[in-house]
Amino acid sequence: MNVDQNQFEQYLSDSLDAISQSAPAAPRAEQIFRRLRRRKIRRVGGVVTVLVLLACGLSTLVFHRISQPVPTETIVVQAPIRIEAARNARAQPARPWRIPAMKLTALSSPSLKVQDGLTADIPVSSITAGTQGASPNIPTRFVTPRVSLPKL
Amino acid sequence: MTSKDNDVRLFEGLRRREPEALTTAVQTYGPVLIRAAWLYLADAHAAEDAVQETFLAAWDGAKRTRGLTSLRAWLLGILTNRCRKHIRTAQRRRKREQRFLEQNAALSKSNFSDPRLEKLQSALPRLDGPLREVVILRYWQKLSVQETAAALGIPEGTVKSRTHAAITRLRDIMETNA
Repeated sequence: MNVDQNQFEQYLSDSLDAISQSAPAAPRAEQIFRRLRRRKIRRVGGVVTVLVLLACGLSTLVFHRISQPVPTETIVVQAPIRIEAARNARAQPARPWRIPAMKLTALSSPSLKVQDGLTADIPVSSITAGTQGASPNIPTRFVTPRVSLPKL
Repeated sequence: MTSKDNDVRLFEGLRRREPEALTTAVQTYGPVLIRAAWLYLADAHAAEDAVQETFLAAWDGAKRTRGLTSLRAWLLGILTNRCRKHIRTAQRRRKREQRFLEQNAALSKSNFSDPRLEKLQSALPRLDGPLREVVILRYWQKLSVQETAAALGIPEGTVKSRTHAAITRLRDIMETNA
């Protein structure tokens, strides 16, 4: 094909025009509107499906939580024990307490698996005094005392 | 009222989501877009699909578009993106598509009495996508370098270099086939 650039470009332009004549018919406006309607229905359906699934999931979760009581665990620690009320607790007073012996009824928590002699934050639902000491005057609900567990 | 004024009015109608504007746009630019898609994809169904998607995208995107220079170039730009998407999807089914293209080429060959048209039509799908886009917009749609750059979202220099590369490659392919 020994034609110069301009001739080739002209040939290209004419040929593309000729080829494009064999294109299928252009879509009609009704087809576009039909697609728009279908898309709208699909979107609404998608949103409704997501909402229903979310509602199902949430209700299952809530039902599961309600039907399963919060597990508790009782730890008995020997004297001496030192309890410091958490900063955000409404403990009165905030100074450390030394108690001869006490029983902690703690909410089940991974932090209960502390080793002897370590300090741990234990979520406590109730604290009752042991047999050897007076009841400490600290709040019994929603308190996270820092407990120093002595070596047993 | 000039064609530019009509385009501005049409585009404003699309922005306001007026169904009449969409109808007019389909009637005015549908034939141009289907022919461009046909040249690009060489597949009637895919071309029709791409054009419909182009109008849907225009309907959605008109509100976000600022500083429109040419409605035709804007629609051709959207169409090019849709065609690229179709080709990407087709690449996942490369074997089937290849078979389809061969069948398609065989079908189209019988449509033209002029052997030069047959040669060009079989050469066109062998051009890389970016080069094919430039050929279609520059030589068939006769868009300027500036309009092509705006439609494809690329710099004008890139349009020029792609045009040059496309012509060279197309001539190579056609000479090899000759």
